[in-house]
Amino acid sequence: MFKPNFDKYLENIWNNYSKDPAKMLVHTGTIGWALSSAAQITAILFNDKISAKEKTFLIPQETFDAVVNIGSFYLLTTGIKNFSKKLVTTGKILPKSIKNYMENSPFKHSYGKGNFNMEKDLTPLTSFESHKKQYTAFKNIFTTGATIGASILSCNIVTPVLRNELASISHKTIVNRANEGTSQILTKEDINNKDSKALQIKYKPALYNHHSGGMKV
Amino acid sequence: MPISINNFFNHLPNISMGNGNPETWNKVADWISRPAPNRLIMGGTAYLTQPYIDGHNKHVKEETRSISKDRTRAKVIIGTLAGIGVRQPSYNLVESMTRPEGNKSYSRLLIPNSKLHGLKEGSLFLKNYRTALSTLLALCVMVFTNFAVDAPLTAILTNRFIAKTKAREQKKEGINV
Repeated sequence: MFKPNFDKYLENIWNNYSKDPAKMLVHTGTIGWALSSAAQITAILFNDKISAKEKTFLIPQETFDAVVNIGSFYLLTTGIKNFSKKLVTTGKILPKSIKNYMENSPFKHSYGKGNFNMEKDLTPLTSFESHKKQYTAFKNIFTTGATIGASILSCNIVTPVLRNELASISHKTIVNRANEGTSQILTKEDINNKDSKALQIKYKPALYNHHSGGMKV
Repeated sequence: MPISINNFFNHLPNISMGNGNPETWNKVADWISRPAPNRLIMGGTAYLTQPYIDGHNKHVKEETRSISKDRTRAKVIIGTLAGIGVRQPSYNLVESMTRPEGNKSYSRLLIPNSKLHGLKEGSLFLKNYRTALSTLLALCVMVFTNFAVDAPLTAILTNRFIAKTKAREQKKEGINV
């Protein structure tokens, strides 16, 4: 059978993500946001129906959306993902049947402690084999569920709140700078000199320039 | 006593949860991590929260707030639909090329050589691998669709939402007058 020579890449993907699908969500999510935000910023820039004034908020909002999303996903989602994984691998959270098994095992007093590892410490116990399928499935659903829950918290609650805060600061700075221009006091020399900088600032602030609806913002 | 994650852990009570069916757990985990359903979950919750947050952003003027809310709604709708539209075919394509027991010439094309022997259709690793590979493929496609599909459609829908909001406000003002 014909097989292109990209086996080492496939092998790499298998080794990195097949045992840890949540890691894949983090990595691909990061690239996805950067791409999406770049496209959305382009869409805002070329949208004639949105005034330049509104763009001074929407563009920083979209930029911060990507930055905050990536940051909060790495910190919050990865943190919750690792924490949820630790909850299961230490035996802190377990299905009832496995908890009952642990209560009657030699590890009765050590499971659920921070340095306990269900997968390593229980390997010598052959009796655990019958619970292994349930343990693996529980770990799978618990960590995947926690990762998705954390993604929702991070992307759909934390990010919009933070990006709006940051974009508002940026928006105010731009608006204030533009207002400084319009409140500029002109001298007689400024009025008579059409190349005067003060005259240009007062009547052509880039923000409200009729033709600045595009790339200048 | 030094503060560490392990110490913190030791103070938490041990918790037990219900005994579920491992097959069902694996099926649910497999489904929600698939690219298209995952995008649907994220998009659905984004539609519920993000426009609301944007609509209550007191740092900007009413008009900016309203436009921001309309743009977010449009972005979430188009992003979710386009995301699912790209991810599902990517998943189907990858799935058709990662069938260890398939009899077509391309059935095992995307399975690494070292994993071919003994690999079974229901393997959890295989499911995760398919998800990862199809997400990466979708990402490559999205380099183009984000700019060629998402961005222009978001702009069109944003403008429609803005026009509708304005019409609604004008109607309201007319009633109030």
